[in-house]
Amino acid sequence: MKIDVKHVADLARLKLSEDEMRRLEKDLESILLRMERLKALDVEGVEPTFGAGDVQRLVLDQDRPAPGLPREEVLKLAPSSEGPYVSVPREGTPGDAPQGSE
Amino acid sequence: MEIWELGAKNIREQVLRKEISAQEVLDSFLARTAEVEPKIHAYIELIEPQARLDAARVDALIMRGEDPGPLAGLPVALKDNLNLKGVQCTCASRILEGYISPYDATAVKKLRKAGAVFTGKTNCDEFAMGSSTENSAFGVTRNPWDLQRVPGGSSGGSAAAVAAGMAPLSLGSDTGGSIRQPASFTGVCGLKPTYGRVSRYGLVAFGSSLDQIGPFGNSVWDCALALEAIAGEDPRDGTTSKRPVPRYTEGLKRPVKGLVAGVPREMMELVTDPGVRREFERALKIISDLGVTVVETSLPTTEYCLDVYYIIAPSEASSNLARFDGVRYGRRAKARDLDEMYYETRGQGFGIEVQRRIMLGTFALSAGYYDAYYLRAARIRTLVRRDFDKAFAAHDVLLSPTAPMVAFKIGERVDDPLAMYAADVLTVPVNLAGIPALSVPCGFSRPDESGPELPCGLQIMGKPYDEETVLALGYAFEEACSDWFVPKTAAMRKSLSSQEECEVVVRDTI
Amino acid sequence: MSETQYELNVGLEVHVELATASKMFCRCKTKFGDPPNTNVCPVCMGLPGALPVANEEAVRLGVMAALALNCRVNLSSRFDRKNYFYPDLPKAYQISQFEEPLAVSGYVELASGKRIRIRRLHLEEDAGKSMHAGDDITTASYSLLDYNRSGVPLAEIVSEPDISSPEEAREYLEKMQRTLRFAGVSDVKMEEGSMRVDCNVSVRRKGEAQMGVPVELKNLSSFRAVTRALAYEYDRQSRLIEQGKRIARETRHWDEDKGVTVSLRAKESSQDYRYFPDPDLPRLELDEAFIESVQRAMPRLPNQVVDFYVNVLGLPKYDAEVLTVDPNLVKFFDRCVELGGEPKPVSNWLMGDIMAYMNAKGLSYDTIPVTPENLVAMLGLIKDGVISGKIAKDVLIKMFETGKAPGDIVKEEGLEQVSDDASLSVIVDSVIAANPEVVAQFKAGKDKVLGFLVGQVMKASKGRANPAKVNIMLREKILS
Repeated sequence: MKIDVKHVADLARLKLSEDEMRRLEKDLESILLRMERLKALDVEGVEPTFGAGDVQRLVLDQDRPAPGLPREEVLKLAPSSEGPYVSVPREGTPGDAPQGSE
Repeated sequence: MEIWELGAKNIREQVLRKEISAQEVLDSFLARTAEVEPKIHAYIELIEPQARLDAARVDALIMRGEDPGPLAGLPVALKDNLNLKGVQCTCASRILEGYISPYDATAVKKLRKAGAVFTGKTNCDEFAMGSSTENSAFGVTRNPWDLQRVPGGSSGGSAAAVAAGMAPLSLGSDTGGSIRQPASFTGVCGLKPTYGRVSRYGLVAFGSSLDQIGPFGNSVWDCALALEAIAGEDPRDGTTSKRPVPRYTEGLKRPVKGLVAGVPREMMELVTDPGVRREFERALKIISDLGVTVVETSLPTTEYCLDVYYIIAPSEASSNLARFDGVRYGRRAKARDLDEMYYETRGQGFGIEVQRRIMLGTFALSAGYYDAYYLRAARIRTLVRRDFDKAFAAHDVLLSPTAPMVAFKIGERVDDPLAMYAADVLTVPVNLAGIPALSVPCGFSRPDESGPELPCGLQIMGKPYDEETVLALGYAFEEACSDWFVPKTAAMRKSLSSQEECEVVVRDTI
Repeated sequence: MSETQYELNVGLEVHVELATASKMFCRCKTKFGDPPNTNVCPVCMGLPGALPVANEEAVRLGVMAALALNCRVNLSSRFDRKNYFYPDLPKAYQISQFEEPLAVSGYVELASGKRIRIRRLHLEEDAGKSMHAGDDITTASYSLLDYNRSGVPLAEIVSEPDISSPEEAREYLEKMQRTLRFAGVSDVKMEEGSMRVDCNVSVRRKGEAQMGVPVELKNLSSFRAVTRALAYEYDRQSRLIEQGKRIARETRHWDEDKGVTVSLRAKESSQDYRYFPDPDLPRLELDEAFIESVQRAMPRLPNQVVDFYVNVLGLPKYDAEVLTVDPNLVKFFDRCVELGGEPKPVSNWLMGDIMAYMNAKGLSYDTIPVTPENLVAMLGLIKDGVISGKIAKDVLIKMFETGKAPGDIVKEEGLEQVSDDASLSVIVDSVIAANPEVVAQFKAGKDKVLGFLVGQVMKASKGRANPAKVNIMLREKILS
């Protein structure tokens, strides 16, 4: 089992040194090798289990607003803030990309 | 006898009878902590001032003739992945160093309402990932039975605090054995409740479909008391059960005669330490003598559980730990732009084991591998659950050793992930199935001829939401063993006082 | 290049914020425009240990939206985690529905009868908002984050690539906007971001079986931007095909000022969202009885209203379409008719002076400053000859400004038409006396000049004289 450690580290946003990269590659490959055993089991038609417990239906809460955290507390937690906002370094290549989620 | 030696049940009764005050109780435990904590390093942070206020509040209630709650001033240590408002919550990680939680976990809220006094936050493996408490950014916790050995993990600090007499009760979390395995390694009782029995709100998530909060205590009775206080439906956790919470302490003396206990043969095949096997077999004899029918049974998927667990738990963890990005809280690495901030913050903030699991989980969920890994594991999890359903159709409880070995030496396994993961091989099936299980001390093994005796645990697994039967059997078993187990613990605690202080060892990969 | 050689295929992804009071998975307020970071809690800030709890009303509104758009609601659906890093996404995953959405297989019917198929409608949570610090995008080194919007419930509505022109896209969006507004599920305001549109656009030679390479368009902040951007992309892509060039699978950003799209990023394999079922949220299970109860509570939708206005009230189709631009306008109109107002005059006044006034003042239809009662009363005054249509325009302005009843305004300001003989007689006499030459011309048979005299009387009465009566009285007085 070969694993593209660099790609996975990019997905997870982890900065790893060459050494760490090599070490994780070795570890993950030996773990995945062990897991090859799972392929021997026939799971055709078996429903997956994604959660334990006896709650089978999503619990729905009433739409009644309740107070949250005071802004001062939220901003105090943040490593940096400006005025009423949490602040973070900008994206790397300024000018070509607008900000915003997908 | 000092107050800290009395046990939760006696302390509580004396406080309620006003023979001692909650503040005296706290003083006694703090004094004991001052004496042995430098050897054990069970705590990440002690919160003496808050604890004193809590104890004074309980005393004030008692003075006014009001009900202080069922825990009546009992000190409780909290694993540092449980949110306690106004106190640091680090999960033993650099990335959360200095993070002061702005809210209480539901279990914490319930304990406070029940009259508990919080002593501090205990050490653990970073984000509960580990089986030895060596993966902590704040140093290794030591096993009170042998300071050169690990207390187990991940809730090693909570287990060691109770074992060493620093707190009569503590809370841990159990995703794959993180309560039961350290309970076994430190000779205390530890209970993982049924998934959905205790709210996870405020427990920093590791494997969301596996995590449960549970108690450590010196006795089954202590665990029952704590469970009673923390269990129940929580509107903030949509996976908690609506079932009413039984009075677990009152159910302890229900008769165990006539129960049928199964011993899964596949689990026995995984026990590596002959001493552990010997003590377990002796425990089975005691249980038979209690009138329980003990028979061999089968859980055919047992051998796959560890693999399934090490796909599902890291997958969920890779998503759960993505929020530690340096944006809104916690540590942020210096960076010129956003991407560098993410990479550096997470690269520097997480230790190697956490990174390993994030990588493993990210891989298992990634495009092209999801079906072969995550989805396949989730399907096999169904087979595991079916195995347990089938076993519980014929047996009231299932029994196994809690861990295949006794406490190992610090540094012995920490660089070999597969060897470390093997410590969970008997506990992870329980989390995959979501059932309750208790670890209760059942004997001692001496892996080194010259070394000290080390405790081993009996795991009692029960049907979903049948903590009562599990606890009742544990209680009956404990009664049958108390004449030889309790003195050994007392002796260990006594010898601990004369041990030298230990340096705090922080591993360089953390 | 022959334009008609190419065919445009557009699929739209529309996000609408559901009109709940609290967020999708916590009970923080959803109010638009509150001060930054004031509606946040451990859940929507993604603090360690917090867990989501779903909002019942969001589910109800999602089902309502699905039914209004002719979708089939799945009785069982599931929430998944969409994993990606962005500072406005607190948990670094968005709770969404990927594999098993709330609803599928709907459509929006265009005026031409063509149906634009809706592939799916699912529930998810919104992200926060990020802005640049400083004025200059190239020098600002920080982004500022406001998490008030984080966790606001969204319905994402994904169409099939059935749209074949910018005009169809616009009509689809307008029809959807109206429908959702009438169903009461969302404000659907593009300008406040409660409705957002992304396009997947591809171009192919006519007759070609294979769809073209889809290009994703972002930053479309108005319907006009959508049509302009689509027209631009149609040109750009057909030109590339003409030149034999390859069209890149990418995301492009619409630059409103320059009127062009610019490449944002290639859709690489690095965009791997690693969807998996959210273990914190059991399946969303609904039953038939619930779906039926939502269906029963469904307000009348625009199509039904238009039908009713045309076929029952006899309004022109044009009027009916204009009135159904907003449910509050429809409510207002319906109330007027209920109070005895004649449909066509009510419609005229609404579409004319009232809309003009509201547009000028920038008012929205949820705050129409006159009551249906007062409008109907005003129409009654015109019909009874108490005021002229011209005076009524002034009265309406006063009604807007003061909120008073038209009868009171007419009385206070003395605006009634003067019809009584005695009062008119005095004015008419004075006009005759003041214009002897014109009177003489009239007497001499120059009939046209009477209009001038009527005008003088109207002027002297400040417009209040009843013009018909003035006409008769002038003739009688001069010729007798």
